[in-house]
Amino acid sequence: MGPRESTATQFSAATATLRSGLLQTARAELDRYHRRAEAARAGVDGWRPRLRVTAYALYRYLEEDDRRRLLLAELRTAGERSELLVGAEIEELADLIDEGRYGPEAPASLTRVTAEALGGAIFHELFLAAAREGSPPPESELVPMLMYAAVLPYAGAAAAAEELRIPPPPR
Amino acid sequence: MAAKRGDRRGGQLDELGPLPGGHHGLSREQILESQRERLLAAIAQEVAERGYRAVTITEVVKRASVSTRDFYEHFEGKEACFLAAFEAVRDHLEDVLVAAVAAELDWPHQVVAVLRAALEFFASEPDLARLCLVEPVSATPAIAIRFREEVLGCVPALARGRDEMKDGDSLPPSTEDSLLGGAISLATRSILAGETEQLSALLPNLVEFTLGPYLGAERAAAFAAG
Repeated sequence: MGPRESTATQFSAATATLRSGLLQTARAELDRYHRRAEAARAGVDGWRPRLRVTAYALYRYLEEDDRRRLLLAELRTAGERSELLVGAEIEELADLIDEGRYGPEAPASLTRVTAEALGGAIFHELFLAAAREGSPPPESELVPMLMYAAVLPYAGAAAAAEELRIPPPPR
Repeated sequence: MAAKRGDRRGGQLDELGPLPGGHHGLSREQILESQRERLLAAIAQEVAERGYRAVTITEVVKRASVSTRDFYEHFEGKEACFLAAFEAVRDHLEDVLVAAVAAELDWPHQVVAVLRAALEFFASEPDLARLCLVEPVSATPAIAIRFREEVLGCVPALARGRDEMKDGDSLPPSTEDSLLGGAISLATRSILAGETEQLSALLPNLVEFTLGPYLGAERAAAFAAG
Protein backbone atom coordinates (compact mmCIF):
# COMPACT_ATOMS: atom_id res chain seq x y z
CA MET A 1 0.00 0.00 0.00
CA GLY A 2 1.51 3.33 -1.05
CA PRO A 3 1.50 6.44 1.17
CA ARG A 4 -1.42 8.01 -0.71
CA GLU A 5 -3.57 4.88 -0.41
CA SER A 6 -2.61 4.56 3.23
CA THR A 7 -3.74 8.14 3.95
CA ALA A 8 -7.00 7.56 2.10
CA THR A 9 -7.64 4.37 4.07
CA GLN A 10 -6.90 6.12 7.35
CA PHE A 11 -9.16 9.02 6.42
CA SER A 12 -11.94 6.65 5.44
CA ALA A 13 -11.59 4.75 8.74
CA ALA A 14 -11.63 7.99 10.73
CA THR A 15 -14.76 9.15 8.90
CA ALA A 16 -16.49 5.84 9.59
CA THR A 17 -15.59 6.12 13.29
CA LEU A 18 -16.97 9.66 13.46
CA ARG A 19 -20.19 8.62 11.74
CA SER A 20 -20.58 5.65 14.02
CA GLY A 21 -20.00 7.94 17.03
CA LEU A 22 -22.65 10.33 15.76
CA LEU A 23 -25.15 7.50 15.39
CA GLN A 24 -24.41 6.24 18.91
CA THR A 25 -24.87 9.72 20.33
CA ALA A 26 -28.06 10.15 18.35
CA ARG A 27 -29.45 6.84 19.62
CA ALA A 28 -28.68 7.79 23.22
CA GLU A 29 -30.32 11.20 22.73
CA LEU A 30 -33.39 9.68 21.10
CA ASP A 31 -33.73 7.24 24.02
CA ARG A 32 -33.67 10.21 26.35
CA TYR A 33 -36.41 11.91 24.34
CA HIS A 34 -38.50 8.70 24.38
CA ARG A 35 -38.33 8.57 28.16
CA ARG A 36 -39.37 12.21 28.28
CA ALA A 37 -42.31 11.64 25.90
CA GLU A 38 -43.48 8.56 27.81
CA ALA A 39 -43.44 10.56 31.03
CA ALA A 40 -45.46 13.33 29.37
CA ARG A 41 -48.09 10.82 28.16
CA ALA A 42 -48.40 9.09 31.53
CA GLY A 43 -51.92 9.56 32.84
CA VAL A 44 -53.08 11.43 29.72
CA ASP A 45 -56.17 9.94 28.09
CA GLY A 46 -57.41 10.32 24.55
CA TRP A 47 -55.69 10.28 21.23
CA ARG A 48 -55.43 14.01 20.65
CA PRO A 49 -54.16 14.92 24.14
CA ARG A 50 -51.59 12.11 23.97
CA LEU A 51 -50.39 13.27 20.56
CA ARG A 52 -50.31 16.88 21.72
CA VAL A 53 -48.17 16.24 24.82
CA THR A 54 -45.83 14.11 22.67
CA ALA A 55 -45.41 16.93 20.14
CA TYR A 56 -44.70 19.42 22.91
CA ALA A 57 -42.28 16.99 24.56
CA LEU A 58 -40.35 16.67 21.30
CA TYR A 59 -40.31 20.40 20.71
CA ARG A 60 -39.16 21.16 24.26
CA TYR A 61 -36.56 18.47 24.16
CA LEU A 62 -35.04 20.03 21.05
CA GLU A 63 -35.49 23.59 22.21
CA GLU A 64 -33.77 23.32 25.57
CA ASP A 65 -30.37 22.48 24.15
CA ASP A 66 -28.87 23.89 20.97
CA ARG A 67 -26.66 20.82 20.69
CA ARG A 68 -29.69 18.59 20.26
CA ARG A 69 -31.01 20.72 17.45
CA LEU A 70 -27.63 20.56 15.79
CA LEU A 71 -27.58 16.82 16.30
CA LEU A 72 -30.94 16.43 14.58
CA ALA A 73 -29.82 18.65 11.72
CA GLU A 74 -26.54 16.76 11.43
CA LEU A 75 -28.28 13.41 11.69
CA ARG A 76 -30.21 14.18 8.53
CA THR A 77 -26.94 14.76 6.71
CA ALA A 78 -25.02 11.73 7.98
CA GLY A 79 -25.90 9.18 5.35
CA GLU A 80 -28.33 6.35 4.86
CA ARG A 81 -27.98 4.68 8.26
CA SER A 82 -28.97 7.88 9.99
CA GLU A 83 -31.87 8.22 7.55
CA LEU A 84 -33.03 4.80 8.71
CA LEU A 85 -32.78 5.99 12.30
CA VAL A 86 -34.92 9.00 11.45
CA GLY A 87 -37.27 6.64 9.60
CA ALA A 88 -37.73 4.59 12.77
CA GLU A 89 -38.61 7.77 14.67
CA ILE A 90 -41.16 8.72 12.02
CA GLU A 91 -42.61 5.21 12.28
CA GLU A 92 -43.04 5.58 16.02
CA LEU A 93 -44.73 8.94 15.66
CA ALA A 94 -46.91 7.46 12.91
CA ASP A 95 -48.06 4.73 15.33
CA LEU A 96 -49.40 7.40 17.62
CA ILE A 97 -51.00 9.43 14.82
CA ASP A 98 -52.58 6.32 13.35
CA GLU A 99 -54.65 5.87 16.51
CA GLY A 100 -56.74 8.68 15.03
CA ARG A 101 -58.20 6.19 12.55
CA TYR A 102 -60.15 4.54 15.33
CA GLY A 103 -61.90 7.79 16.30
CA PRO A 104 -65.64 8.14 15.61
CA GLU A 105 -65.22 10.81 12.93
CA ALA A 106 -62.33 9.27 11.01
CA PRO A 107 -63.18 8.53 7.36
CA ALA A 108 -63.05 4.82 6.58
CA SER A 109 -60.95 5.51 3.50
CA LEU A 110 -57.87 6.52 5.54
CA THR A 111 -55.02 4.06 5.78
CA ARG A 112 -51.82 3.76 7.75
CA VAL A 113 -50.07 5.66 4.96
CA THR A 114 -51.76 8.91 6.02
CA ALA A 115 -50.20 8.61 9.47
CA GLU A 116 -46.80 7.89 7.94
CA ALA A 117 -47.06 10.97 5.75
CA LEU A 118 -48.08 13.09 8.72
CA GLY A 119 -45.28 11.67 10.86
CA GLY A 120 -42.87 12.57 8.06
CA ALA A 121 -44.38 16.03 7.77
CA ILE A 122 -43.95 16.70 11.48
CA PHE A 123 -40.33 15.56 11.38
CA HIS A 124 -39.79 17.64 8.28
CA GLU A 125 -41.09 20.76 10.05
CA LEU A 126 -39.07 20.09 13.17
CA PHE A 127 -35.99 19.41 11.08
CA LEU A 128 -36.42 22.76 9.37
CA ALA A 129 -36.94 24.48 12.70
CA ALA A 130 -33.85 22.75 14.06
CA ALA A 131 -31.72 23.54 11.03
CA ARG A 132 -32.74 27.19 10.93
CA GLU A 133 -30.22 29.64 12.26
CA GLY A 134 -31.15 31.43 15.46
CA SER A 135 -34.06 30.50 17.67
CA PRO A 136 -36.77 28.13 16.43
CA PRO A 137 -40.32 29.51 16.22
CA PRO A 138 -42.04 29.56 19.64
CA GLU A 139 -43.81 26.34 20.67
CA SER A 140 -47.14 28.15 20.90
CA GLU A 141 -46.81 28.88 17.17
CA LEU A 142 -45.26 25.73 15.71
CA VAL A 143 -46.83 22.88 17.69
CA PRO A 144 -50.49 23.92 17.23
CA MET A 145 -49.93 24.13 13.46
CA LEU A 146 -48.43 20.63 13.45
CA MET A 147 -51.35 19.41 15.54
CA TYR A 148 -53.76 21.03 13.10
CA ALA A 149 -52.21 19.05 10.25
CA ALA A 150 -52.23 15.81 12.25
CA VAL A 151 -55.83 16.09 13.48
CA LEU A 152 -57.47 17.35 10.29
CA PRO A 153 -57.71 14.08 8.32
CA TYR A 154 -59.10 12.13 11.28
CA ALA A 155 -61.35 14.53 13.15
CA GLY A 156 -62.20 17.22 10.59
CA ALA A 157 -61.70 20.97 10.22
CA ALA A 158 -63.50 22.07 13.42
CA ALA A 159 -61.41 19.81 15.65
CA ALA A 160 -58.24 20.79 13.80
CA ALA A 161 -59.03 24.50 14.23
CA GLU A 162 -59.58 23.86 17.92
CA GLU A 163 -55.94 22.72 18.13
CA LEU A 164 -54.83 26.21 17.09
CA ARG A 165 -56.51 27.63 20.21
CA ILE A 166 -55.36 25.10 22.81
CA PRO A 167 -52.55 26.57 24.95
CA PRO A 168 -49.36 24.61 25.57
CA PRO A 169 -49.39 22.20 28.53
CA PRO A 170 -47.49 23.37 31.62
CA ARG A 171 -43.78 22.68 31.60
CA MET B 1 -30.79 11.56 -16.56
CA ALA B 2 -32.67 14.45 -17.93
CA ALA B 3 -29.75 15.93 -19.76
CA LYS B 4 -32.16 18.34 -21.29
CA ARG B 5 -30.07 19.76 -24.05
CA GLY B 6 -29.48 16.32 -25.42
CA ASP B 7 -33.12 15.42 -24.76
CA ARG B 8 -32.09 12.13 -23.22
CA ARG B 9 -34.10 10.40 -20.53
CA GLY B 10 -32.74 8.83 -17.39
CA GLY B 11 -33.33 5.30 -18.61
CA GLN B 12 -31.00 5.94 -21.47
CA LEU B 13 -28.06 6.91 -19.32
CA ASP B 14 -26.27 3.67 -19.92
CA GLU B 15 -26.25 4.39 -23.62
CA LEU B 16 -24.03 7.43 -23.12
CA GLY B 17 -20.62 6.10 -24.03
CA PRO B 18 -17.31 7.78 -24.74
CA LEU B 19 -16.86 9.46 -28.08
CA PRO B 20 -14.95 7.55 -30.73
CA GLY B 21 -11.24 8.26 -30.82
CA GLY B 22 -9.38 9.84 -33.72
CA HIS B 23 -11.03 12.11 -36.26
CA HIS B 24 -14.68 12.03 -35.32
CA GLY B 25 -15.52 15.37 -36.89
CA LEU B 26 -17.27 16.73 -33.81
CA SER B 27 -16.99 20.36 -32.84
CA ARG B 28 -15.44 21.44 -29.54
CA GLU B 29 -18.92 22.40 -28.35
CA GLN B 30 -20.33 18.97 -29.17
CA ILE B 31 -17.49 17.28 -27.33
CA LEU B 32 -18.02 19.43 -24.25
CA GLU B 33 -21.74 18.74 -24.31
CA SER B 34 -21.16 15.01 -24.59
CA GLN B 35 -18.68 15.09 -21.70
CA ARG B 36 -21.04 17.06 -19.53
CA GLU B 37 -23.94 14.69 -20.20
CA ARG B 38 -21.77 11.68 -19.41
CA LEU B 39 -20.56 13.26 -16.17
CA LEU B 40 -24.12 14.04 -15.08
CA ALA B 41 -25.19 10.51 -15.91
CA ALA B 42 -22.18 9.08 -14.09
CA ILE B 43 -22.72 10.99 -10.88
CA ALA B 44 -26.40 10.02 -10.86
CA GLN B 45 -25.49 6.35 -11.14
CA GLU B 46 -22.61 6.52 -8.67
CA VAL B 47 -24.74 8.33 -6.10
CA ALA B 48 -27.54 5.80 -6.53
CA GLU B 49 -25.12 2.95 -5.92
CA ARG B 50 -22.98 4.37 -3.13
CA GLY B 51 -24.65 7.44 -1.71
CA TYR B 52 -23.35 10.98 -2.21
CA ARG B 53 -20.82 10.93 0.59
CA ALA B 54 -19.04 7.80 -0.59
CA VAL B 55 -18.74 8.89 -4.23
CA THR B 56 -15.38 10.21 -5.42
CA ILE B 57 -14.59 12.26 -8.48
CA THR B 58 -12.21 9.50 -9.56
CA GLU B 59 -15.12 7.08 -9.82
CA VAL B 60 -17.32 9.59 -11.61
CA VAL B 61 -14.74 10.40 -14.27
CA LYS B 62 -13.93 6.73 -14.74
CA ARG B 63 -17.57 5.88 -15.28
CA ALA B 64 -18.03 8.82 -17.63
CA SER B 65 -14.83 8.05 -19.56
CA VAL B 66 -13.74 11.64 -19.06
CA SER B 67 -10.39 12.77 -17.73
CA THR B 68 -10.13 14.38 -14.31
CA ARG B 69 -8.79 17.49 -15.99
CA ASP B 70 -11.86 17.66 -18.21
CA PHE B 71 -14.09 17.13 -15.18
CA TYR B 72 -12.72 20.35 -13.69
CA GLU B 73 -13.32 22.13 -16.98
CA HIS B 74 -17.02 21.55 -16.34
CA PHE B 75 -17.41 21.62 -12.57
CA GLU B 76 -15.65 23.03 -9.53
CA GLY B 77 -16.09 19.76 -7.69
CA LYS B 78 -18.40 16.92 -6.72
CA GLU B 79 -21.02 19.18 -5.17
CA ALA B 80 -21.28 21.33 -8.30
CA CYS B 81 -21.56 18.23 -10.47
CA PHE B 82 -24.31 16.82 -8.25
CA LEU B 83 -26.19 20.12 -8.29
CA ALA B 84 -25.97 20.26 -12.09
CA ALA B 85 -27.40 16.73 -12.29
CA PHE B 86 -30.13 17.61 -9.80
CA GLU B 87 -31.09 20.68 -11.80
CA ALA B 88 -31.10 18.77 -15.08
CA VAL B 89 -33.52 16.25 -13.62
CA ARG B 90 -35.57 19.05 -12.11
CA ASP B 91 -35.87 20.70 -15.56
CA HIS B 92 -36.91 17.47 -17.18
CA LEU B 93 -39.40 16.62 -14.44
CA GLU B 94 -40.89 20.09 -14.77
CA ASP B 95 -41.53 19.40 -18.47
CA VAL B 96 -43.15 16.08 -17.57
CA LEU B 97 -45.39 17.71 -14.97
CA VAL B 98 -46.38 20.63 -17.20
CA ALA B 99 -47.40 18.15 -19.89
CA ALA B 100 -49.36 16.13 -17.31
CA VAL B 101 -51.48 19.06 -16.15
CA ALA B 102 -52.04 20.53 -19.60
CA ALA B 103 -55.21 18.53 -20.19
CA GLU B 104 -56.67 19.10 -16.73
CA LEU B 105 -59.07 21.98 -16.32
CA ASP B 106 -59.40 22.30 -12.56
CA TRP B 107 -57.03 22.39 -9.64
CA PRO B 108 -57.93 19.07 -7.96
CA HIS B 109 -57.47 17.15 -11.21
CA GLN B 110 -54.21 18.99 -11.83
CA VAL B 111 -52.94 17.89 -8.41
CA VAL B 112 -53.88 14.29 -9.15
CA ALA B 113 -52.15 14.50 -12.54
CA VAL B 114 -48.98 15.97 -11.04
CA LEU B 115 -48.80 13.35 -8.31
CA ARG B 116 -49.41 10.54 -10.78
CA ALA B 117 -46.81 11.82 -13.24
CA ALA B 118 -44.18 12.43 -10.55
CA LEU B 119 -44.67 8.99 -8.98
CA GLU B 120 -44.56 7.27 -12.37
CA PHE B 121 -41.44 9.20 -13.34
CA PHE B 122 -39.55 8.29 -10.18
CA ALA B 123 -40.82 4.69 -10.22
CA SER B 124 -39.38 4.26 -13.70
CA GLU B 125 -36.11 6.02 -12.82
CA PRO B 126 -34.87 4.61 -9.48
CA ASP B 127 -31.45 6.27 -9.79
CA LEU B 128 -33.02 9.66 -10.33
CA ALA B 129 -35.45 9.07 -7.49
CA ARG B 130 -32.50 8.68 -5.13
CA LEU B 131 -30.70 11.64 -6.65
CA CYS B 132 -33.70 13.93 -6.28
CA LEU B 133 -35.45 12.76 -3.15
CA VAL B 134 -33.13 10.78 -0.89
CA GLU B 135 -29.64 12.21 -1.32
CA PRO B 136 -30.26 15.98 -1.21
CA VAL B 137 -31.16 16.05 2.50
CA SER B 138 -28.18 13.94 3.48
CA ALA B 139 -25.53 15.28 1.09
CA THR B 140 -24.21 18.74 1.96
CA PRO B 141 -25.80 21.88 3.45
CA ALA B 142 -25.65 23.67 0.07
CA ILE B 143 -27.45 20.78 -1.62
CA ALA B 144 -30.01 20.58 1.18
CA ILE B 145 -30.71 24.30 0.78
CA ARG B 146 -31.09 23.90 -2.99
CA PHE B 147 -33.53 21.04 -2.39
CA ARG B 148 -35.43 23.16 0.10
CA GLU B 149 -35.74 25.96 -2.47
CA GLU B 150 -37.23 23.51 -4.95
CA VAL B 151 -39.76 22.29 -2.39
CA LEU B 152 -40.71 25.86 -1.53
CA GLY B 153 -41.15 26.53 -5.25
CA CYS B 154 -44.06 24.05 -5.22
CA VAL B 155 -45.93 25.89 -2.46
CA PRO B 156 -47.81 28.45 -4.63
CA ALA B 157 -49.22 25.76 -6.94
CA LEU B 158 -50.49 23.80 -3.96
CA ALA B 159 -51.77 26.91 -2.17
CA ARG B 160 -54.16 27.48 -5.08
CA GLY B 161 -56.25 24.88 -3.28
CA ARG B 162 -57.20 27.59 -0.80
CA ASP B 163 -59.30 29.16 -3.59
CA GLU B 164 -61.38 25.99 -3.56
CA MET B 165 -62.44 26.73 0.01
CA LYS B 166 -64.96 29.16 1.43
CA ASP B 167 -62.34 30.42 3.86
CA GLY B 168 -58.92 29.52 2.54
CA ASP B 169 -57.22 31.75 5.09
CA SER B 170 -58.43 29.48 7.87
CA LEU B 171 -55.69 27.00 7.04
CA PRO B 172 -52.44 27.57 8.93
CA PRO B 173 -49.68 29.09 6.78
CA SER B 174 -47.53 25.99 7.16
CA THR B 175 -50.15 23.69 5.56
CA GLU B 176 -48.49 23.44 2.14
CA ASP B 177 -45.06 22.94 3.67
CA SER B 178 -46.40 20.12 5.83
CA LEU B 179 -48.14 18.46 2.89
CA LEU B 180 -45.04 18.60 0.72
CA GLY B 181 -42.85 17.40 3.59
CA GLY B 182 -45.22 14.50 4.22
CA ALA B 183 -45.37 13.49 0.57
CA ILE B 184 -41.59 13.63 0.19
CA SER B 185 -41.06 11.74 3.41
CA LEU B 186 -43.41 9.00 2.26
CA ALA B 187 -41.72 8.66 -1.11
CA THR B 188 -38.25 8.74 0.46
CA ARG B 189 -39.09 5.95 2.84
CA SER B 190 -40.42 3.78 0.01
CA ILE B 191 -37.19 4.35 -1.89
CA LEU B 192 -35.04 3.50 1.12
CA ALA B 193 -37.11 0.36 1.62
CA GLY B 194 -36.19 -0.72 -1.91
CA GLU B 195 -39.72 -0.16 -3.21
CA THR B 196 -39.02 2.58 -5.73
CA GLU B 197 -40.71 0.71 -8.54
CA GLN B 198 -43.90 0.53 -6.50
CA LEU B 199 -44.06 4.28 -5.87
CA SER B 200 -47.17 4.61 -8.02
CA ALA B 201 -49.06 2.53 -5.46
CA LEU B 202 -48.86 5.54 -3.13
CA LEU B 203 -51.08 7.60 -5.45
CA PRO B 204 -54.51 7.10 -3.81
CA ASN B 205 -53.15 7.82 -0.34
CA LEU B 206 -51.18 10.83 -1.50
CA VAL B 207 -54.16 12.26 -3.36
CA GLU B 208 -56.36 11.97 -0.28
CA PHE B 209 -53.62 13.34 1.96
CA THR B 210 -52.90 16.31 -0.32
CA LEU B 211 -56.44 17.30 -1.26
CA GLY B 212 -57.98 16.66 2.15
CA PRO B 213 -57.21 20.01 3.79
CA TYR B 214 -58.71 21.93 0.86
CA LEU B 215 -61.65 19.80 -0.28
CA GLY B 216 -62.59 18.00 2.91
CA ALA B 217 -62.28 14.31 3.63
CA GLU B 218 -65.20 13.10 1.48
CA ARG B 219 -64.30 14.90 -1.72
CA ALA B 220 -60.63 14.08 -1.28
CA ALA B 221 -61.48 10.40 -0.84
CA ALA B 222 -63.62 10.52 -3.99
CA PHE B 223 -60.70 11.93 -6.00
CA ALA B 224 -58.41 9.30 -4.49
CA ALA B 225 -60.78 6.55 -5.50
CA GLY B 226 -61.30 8.14 -8.92
